[in-house]
Amino acid sequence: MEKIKSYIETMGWPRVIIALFLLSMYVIAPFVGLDLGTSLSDTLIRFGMNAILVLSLMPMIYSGTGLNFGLPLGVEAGLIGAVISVEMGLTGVLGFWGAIIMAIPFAVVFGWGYSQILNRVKGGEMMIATYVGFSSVAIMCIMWLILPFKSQDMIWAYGGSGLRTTISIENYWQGALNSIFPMADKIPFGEMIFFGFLAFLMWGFFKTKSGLAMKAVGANPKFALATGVNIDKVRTKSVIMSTMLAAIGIIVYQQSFGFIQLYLAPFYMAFPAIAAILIGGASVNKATVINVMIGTFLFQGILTMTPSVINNLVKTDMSETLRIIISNGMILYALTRKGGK
Amino acid sequence: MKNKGKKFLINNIVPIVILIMIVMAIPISGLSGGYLVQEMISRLSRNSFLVLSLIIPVVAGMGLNFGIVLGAMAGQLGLIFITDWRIVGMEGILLAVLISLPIAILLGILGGYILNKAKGREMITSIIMGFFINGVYQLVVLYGMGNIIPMTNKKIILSRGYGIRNAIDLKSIRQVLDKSMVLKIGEFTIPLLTILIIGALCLFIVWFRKTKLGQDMRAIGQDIEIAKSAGIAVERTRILSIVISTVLASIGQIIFLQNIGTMNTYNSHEQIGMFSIAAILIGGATAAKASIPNALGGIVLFHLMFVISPRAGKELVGSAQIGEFFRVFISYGVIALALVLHQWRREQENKAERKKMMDMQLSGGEK
Amino acid sequence: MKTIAVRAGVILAMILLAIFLFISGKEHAIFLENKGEIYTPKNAYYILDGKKEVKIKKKKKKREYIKGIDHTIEIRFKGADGVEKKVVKEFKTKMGKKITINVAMIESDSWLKVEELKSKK
Repeated sequence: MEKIKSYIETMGWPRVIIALFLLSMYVIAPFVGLDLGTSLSDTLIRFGMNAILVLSLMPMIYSGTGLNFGLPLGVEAGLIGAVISVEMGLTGVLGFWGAIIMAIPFAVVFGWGYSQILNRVKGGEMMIATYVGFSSVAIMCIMWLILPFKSQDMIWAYGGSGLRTTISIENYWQGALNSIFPMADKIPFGEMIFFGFLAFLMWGFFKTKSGLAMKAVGANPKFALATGVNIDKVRTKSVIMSTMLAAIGIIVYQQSFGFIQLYLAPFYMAFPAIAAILIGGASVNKATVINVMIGTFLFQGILTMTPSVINNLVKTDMSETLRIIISNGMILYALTRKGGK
Repeated sequence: MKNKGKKFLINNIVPIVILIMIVMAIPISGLSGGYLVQEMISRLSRNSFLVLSLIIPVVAGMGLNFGIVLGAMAGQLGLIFITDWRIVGMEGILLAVLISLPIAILLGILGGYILNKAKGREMITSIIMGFFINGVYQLVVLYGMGNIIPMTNKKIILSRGYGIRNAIDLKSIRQVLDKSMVLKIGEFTIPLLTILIIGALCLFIVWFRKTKLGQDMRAIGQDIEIAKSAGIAVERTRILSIVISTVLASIGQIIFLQNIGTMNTYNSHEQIGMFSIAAILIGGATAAKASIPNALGGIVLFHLMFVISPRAGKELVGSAQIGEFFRVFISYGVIALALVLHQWRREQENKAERKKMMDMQLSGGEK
Repeated sequence: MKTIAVRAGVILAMILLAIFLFISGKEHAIFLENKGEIYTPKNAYYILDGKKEVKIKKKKKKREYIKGIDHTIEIRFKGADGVEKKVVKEFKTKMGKKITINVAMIESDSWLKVEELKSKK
């Protein structure tokens, strides 16, 4: 009995409660007419879509730069890469990697600029990050309208100028990652392996000297300073890493979803990712890959299951409203936990 | 003398920067001075109550209360009910306020309770809280009303039989406050009653600061631990500050909506949080200090920016759509700028503090 | 004990105020028609609660919205004998009751018709 109790304590009550809640959803599913296999597969697919975006939060959390509410900035870089890839007509795996390769330089530049702002506002990063994120979405909206893209699949029909709000990549690189694996439409092996690869890189990085320096900057800046670490430089590195991962994350998301969503779509994207990592047990200055994996799975699981179950139970479509309540409720829950600040 | 000037500049850097931007943009936009003045008069009368409701939580150390959205939702629920019951005119407004009062108090208590559990990150928590309660509000208004909550006025219900329509015409209470007492100066129309009500709120805030409760809140805002050891019921007082702010916000939202005359059931309250906070930040307030001049001055600056930037954008670039996005960019960019400048100012203040301490230590502690 | 009494008092006052506002602020729809038994004026005019004068033609019906309980209506039209008539009457609107005023019959007792409102489903 004691052993179970201490085990739960290390897991953290919130996680246990949410895990039990999710489990109950899977149990109820068949009784309200949902196929258990499809439900599980849906959850896994959403996991694959979102995991890298959640992973992108890690570097900044470790370096003490807070939860990256400015995630939209990295997303915008990814969108630029994606759009260029389609403009160039790249398809399949080439299109996917092309998008990533072209997004990276933008991500580095954006990340660097972003870090300059964040380095000047130590202590108030999260609020400012939120608004930097919002402003960047707004500025990119203007960009989408005036940048000289020509691809017929992307610009408005009937001789309009400017990119469409939603661009289908069905004929380009949708499903590129999973295409080489079996059961592509049920279990996203490709995405999971890619995530595993990046997660492994993250884990490895934080064991290197630079990674440990980054952790030190976040955990104990004075100590880091005393050992000769340039705090601002390390923070900048972490911000650039986070932004790059976010750019990669959105491209993976798009290739699974099948659409590139421009304009106001990235506006609120930071919140679900942050909810997920907090649910996974991370705090404002500590996050492990395990947090990312568990958190994404739990969060996406609940987000997929609860609306479907309740919809079938009450015979009304309340998905959108329920999603708002659930995802924000979970963030609130995580924000109001004591411990781990 | 030079130091004083420098201090003034640093203290008010945000409104000064914004003012410069505005002055540069006015000629580009091509809008006339008279038009702008009249616009500012209506926007002041429309928004002041809401923005002023942000002051008290700042005094109590709760930061910028994005949770005024909760108050706005309470006010809107009040308006939905009086529209359903067809109560009109001044009676309608008063009844809407009366109905939203208990709702606002409850939401304020809930909000305060949640924020107490998130000490140190109140602002970001209040943003998320706003989103969350918005979901609950949707649940009630989009699914509950007409269903579990009986509605009699079919005109405001969606065609599917339950749920409130996206936009409700408030013509029965439109401008009731504004038009009841009007002052005309030259070509400008001033809604006197509304201005008087706002004035009353200002007096209330000034008076409140001097009461024991107000002093308690200031103490908590300065240092929680010291306040606790002085015997102040910290948790309860913090919740009280949020309750007051939420109630004021619900009244403010009703004033706002009666001026506009239409309620966007699912949208009107969303932007209110962002815009009101943008306004008070631009007026020079910070998460730690906010005053009435900050609120009122901020409204003028923010709304000037709001009105001018799409026109300026359109004149510069030639597309109204781009002008719109430009306005969004400016609104959020300005908040980011204000927050950055505020943080920078805090750094300067801390540096000055530390220098003072060091100087005192060096000159030998004279006690 | 005293604070509970004060609070209860305040809540009671608020409820009473709410009820008062509800009743005095509620908008009612009333109907007017111009259909006389013996004589119907071609044009009749009425002023409800001091608002703008409205013309109602022979045999026509109108619907007006008025706020509160106590109302006055001022009606004028040219009688059968060509003489201008002006009558002022008072009436009350009640919840759940449909009121129809026949302006042509204003001089008789049957000018005001009060019916139970059929509940619409």
